Amino acid sequence: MDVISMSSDPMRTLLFLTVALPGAGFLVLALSWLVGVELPEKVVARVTGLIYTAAALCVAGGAWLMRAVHLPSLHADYGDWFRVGEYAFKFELYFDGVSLPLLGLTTVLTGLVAAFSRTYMHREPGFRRFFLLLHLFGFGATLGFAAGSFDLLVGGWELVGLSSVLLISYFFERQGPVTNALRVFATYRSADVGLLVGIFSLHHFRHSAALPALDLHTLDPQQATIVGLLLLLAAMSKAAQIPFSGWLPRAMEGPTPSSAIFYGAISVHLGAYLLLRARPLLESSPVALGAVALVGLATALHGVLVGRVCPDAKTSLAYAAVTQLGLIFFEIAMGWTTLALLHILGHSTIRTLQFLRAPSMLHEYHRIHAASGGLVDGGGLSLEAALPFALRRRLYWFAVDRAHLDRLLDSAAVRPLSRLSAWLGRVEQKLAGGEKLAVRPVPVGATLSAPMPEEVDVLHD
Amino acid sequence: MTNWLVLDSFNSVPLLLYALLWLAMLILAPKQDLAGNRITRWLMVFAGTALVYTANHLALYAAGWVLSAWPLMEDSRLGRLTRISMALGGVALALGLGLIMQRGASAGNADPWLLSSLSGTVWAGGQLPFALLTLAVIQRKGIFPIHSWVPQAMQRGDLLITGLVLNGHFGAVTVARVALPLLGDASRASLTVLADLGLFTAVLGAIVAVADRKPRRLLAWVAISQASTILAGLESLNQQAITGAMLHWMVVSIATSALFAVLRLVEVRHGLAITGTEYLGVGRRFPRLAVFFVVAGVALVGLPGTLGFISEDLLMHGALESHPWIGLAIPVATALNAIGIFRLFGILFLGRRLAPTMIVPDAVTRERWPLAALILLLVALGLVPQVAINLRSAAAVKLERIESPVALTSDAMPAGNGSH
Repeated sequence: MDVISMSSDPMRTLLFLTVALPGAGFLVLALSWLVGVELPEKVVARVTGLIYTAAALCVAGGAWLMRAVHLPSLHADYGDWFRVGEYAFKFELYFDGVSLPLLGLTTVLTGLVAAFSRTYMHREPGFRRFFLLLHLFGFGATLGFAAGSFDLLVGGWELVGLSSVLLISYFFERQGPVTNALRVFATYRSADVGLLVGIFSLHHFRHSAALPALDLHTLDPQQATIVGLLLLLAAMSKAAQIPFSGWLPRAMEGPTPSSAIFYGAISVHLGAYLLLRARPLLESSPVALGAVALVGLATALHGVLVGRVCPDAKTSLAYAAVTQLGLIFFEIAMGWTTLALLHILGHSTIRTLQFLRAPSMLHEYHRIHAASGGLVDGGGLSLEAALPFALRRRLYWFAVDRAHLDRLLDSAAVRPLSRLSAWLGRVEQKLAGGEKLAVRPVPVGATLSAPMPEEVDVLHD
Repeated sequence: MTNWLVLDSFNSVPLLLYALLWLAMLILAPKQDLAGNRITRWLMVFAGTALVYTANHLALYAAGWVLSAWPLMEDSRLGRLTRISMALGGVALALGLGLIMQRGASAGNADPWLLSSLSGTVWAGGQLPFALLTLAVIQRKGIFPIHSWVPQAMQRGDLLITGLVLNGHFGAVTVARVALPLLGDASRASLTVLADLGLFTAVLGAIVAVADRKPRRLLAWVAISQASTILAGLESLNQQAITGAMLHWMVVSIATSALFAVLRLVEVRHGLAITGTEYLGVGRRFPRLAVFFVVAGVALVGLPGTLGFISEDLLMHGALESHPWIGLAIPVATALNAIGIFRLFGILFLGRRLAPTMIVPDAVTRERWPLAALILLLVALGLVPQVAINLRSAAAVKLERIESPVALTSDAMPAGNGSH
C-alpha cells in the first residue's frame, strides 16, 4: 500500500477526475433543470460523451502512470470530508488491480450506452431525465469502485440503487413499472441493512472501515462470520442471488439501455466487487466462505433452470446474467479472485452487447422468420428431452414460477410485515377513534407484492 | 425583564432555521389555509416556538409551549386524543417547571425562575420534576406511548401548521435546555430510557408506515420515526452523536416541511381527498413538485448526497458505545421509511396517464423558489457538511460537557452562557 501525499500529483488528480466528472455531469443537468433551462438533446448527448471519454482517459492515464512508477496500489487521501472532534470521515480513494479495471469498464460502457441512447431515446419525453440518472449512476458506480473505505462505498452503492429504481419506473404512467420499481427498491433497501450493520460492526470491532487500514485477516472467526454474512446479504441483493433473484426480471421494465448498463454490466457486479474487497475477511470465516460458495452455486443452477423457460429476450438475458453472477460468487469463495475479476469484465461486456442488441435482433428475427415463410428453425439443444416426462413437467413448473422464490419472500417477509403493520395501524386507529378502513393488510395503490411482469416488450418497453 | 430571554450557541441556529421554515411554509401555504383567523394560528405557533427556544424564564418557557400548542388544542376538527395529549403535555411541563422553581426557591436561589440562575444547582432527588418533563417531552415529540396524536392531527387538521408544531422539536429543546442542565443525575440516568423509547418509536413508526395508505398519515408515521432518533443522539454523551442529532434535527425539519408542503400543494390541485387507494399519476403534470418530493424524501431517509446521510453517519458512529442497538434500529427504520416514502411518491405522482383535459399549473414561482431553497439547502449541506457541523459544534461541545458529570459548572450550560 502506498499513500500519496497531498501534493498535486497527476495520478491523484487524474483518478479523482474519474469520479468527479460524472458527478459534475449530474450537477450540470440538475441545475439547468432547476433554473428552467431545457438543454437540447444534442448538447446533453455531446456533454455526456465528452464526460465519459474524459473519464475513461483519466483511468487509463492514471493506470499508466502507476505502472510507470511501479506502484501496485494507490491510496489517495483527499482530506476530511467532514470532521467532528476526533472522528473524521475521510474522502479517500483506493486504486489497485481490482478497482482500476472496473473503473475503466464503467466509464467505457457507460459512455457507449450513452452514445447508443442518443438515438434510442430520441424524442422521448424523459430524454433529459434518462441522462441525468445515467450520470447519477456513473457517479455512484465510480465512487463505489474507487472508494477507499467501506463508509464511502456505501455512498456509491446507495446512489447506484437509487438511480436504478428511478430508471425502472422511467415509464411511470404505467402501473407495472411503478409497482416493480417499488419491489426492487424494497429488496435493495432491506438487504442494504446488512451492508450498514456490517460496516457498523466493522467500526465496532476495528474502529475503522478504511480499506487500506483494515487488517481484515486479524478479525477472529466469530467477528469475521458476523461481518462476512452481513456483507454477503447486501451482495446477494445487489447481484440478484437467491432468494433475491426475483427483482431482476422486474427491473427489466426500464429502458433497454439502462437494463444493459445496470443489470447486464455494472450494478449487478457491485455485489461481487464488495465480496472481492471483503475476501480477506471471508478467509477468516469458513462459515461465511461456505455460504458464499453455496449461494453462488445454487444461484447458478437456478439461473440456468429458469432462464430456459423465460418467455422474452430481456428476462432470458437477466437469468443468464444471474447464472454468471452465481459462478462469480463461487469463484470468489474458492479464492480464484483473478478469474472472478476477468469473469466480471468479460461478462459485463458481452451482456451489455446482448442487451443493446436484443430489440433489433428480435426485429430482424421476425423479418427473417416472415420472409422464410415461418420455416426458420429455433435451433439449440434440448437437453431436457433426455429427462423423463414427469420430471420434465415438474421442472418446468418449478422453473416457470422462478423456483417460487418470490412467493417464498412474500410469505416469509412481505406478508408478515404487512400484517404486523396493518395490525399496529388498526390498534392506532382504535386508540385515535375512527377511520376504521384506513389500513388494510396489503396496501392498495402501490404494493410490495406486485405480480411479476409476464412479458416485457423489448422493442420499446 | 433582564435575562428573561437568551440567545446562545444552542438556540440561535434552530431559531433562525425555524424562522426560515415558518416563512417558507407561509409563502407555500394555499390561500384557503390562511383564510379567516387561521393566520392567527400561524403567528401563535411561531411566537410560541420562538419563546421556547429563547426563554430563560421558566414561566415564559411554559407560556411558549402552551401558545404553540394552542392552535391544535382549539381546532374542533381534531379528535379528543390530540387535544387531550396537547393539554397533558402542557400541564406536565408547567408542573415540572413549577416544581423546579419551587425547589430552587427553597434552596435559597434568588432568581429561581431563571434557567441560567438554576443551572449551577446540582439537584438531589429530582425524579418527580424529571418524570413530568419526560412526560411532556414524550408527548410533544410523539414518542411511544403518547405518539398517536401526530397522525391524527396530520390527517384531520391543518397539515402545515401541525408540521410546524412537530418541527419545533420541543422534546429535544427541553432535554438540552432544561432537563440536562438542571436535573443532573436524575435526568442522566433516566434519559437512557427516553432515548431507548425514541429508538423503539423509530422502528414502530416505520413499521406502521409500511401498510398505511393515507398520504398524510403515512407521512406522519415517517416523520415521527425519523425524528425519534434525535433523542438517542442528544443523550449519548458523545460529541459526534450530539452533532449528528443536531444535524438530524435540521434534516427532519427541512425535509418533512418540504414533504408536507408538496403534499398539501398536490391536495389543493387535486381538489378531492387523496385516499391512497389508487395512483394519482400527477407526475407528468407537476414534474417540479415530483422532483422536490423525491429529493426531500431521499434526504429524510439518509441517502447520500444529502445532509441526511451525514447526520445518520454521525448518529450511528457516535452512539455506538452508549446505544449499541442504534446500529440496528436506524438502518431498519430508515430502510422501512425509505420504502414508505417511495410508495407515497408512487401513489401521488406515478402509475397513471391522466387525460390532458384540465390545465393546472406545476409549482408556480411563489412555490418553486421556497421549495428549491429547501432542497438546495439539504443537498448543499450534504455535499459540504462541515458548514453545518461548524454551526452546531459549539453547542454540541457544551452539551457533551453538561452530560459529563465532572463538568457540571454554570459556564457549561447552554441556557446560562448566552448573550442576553
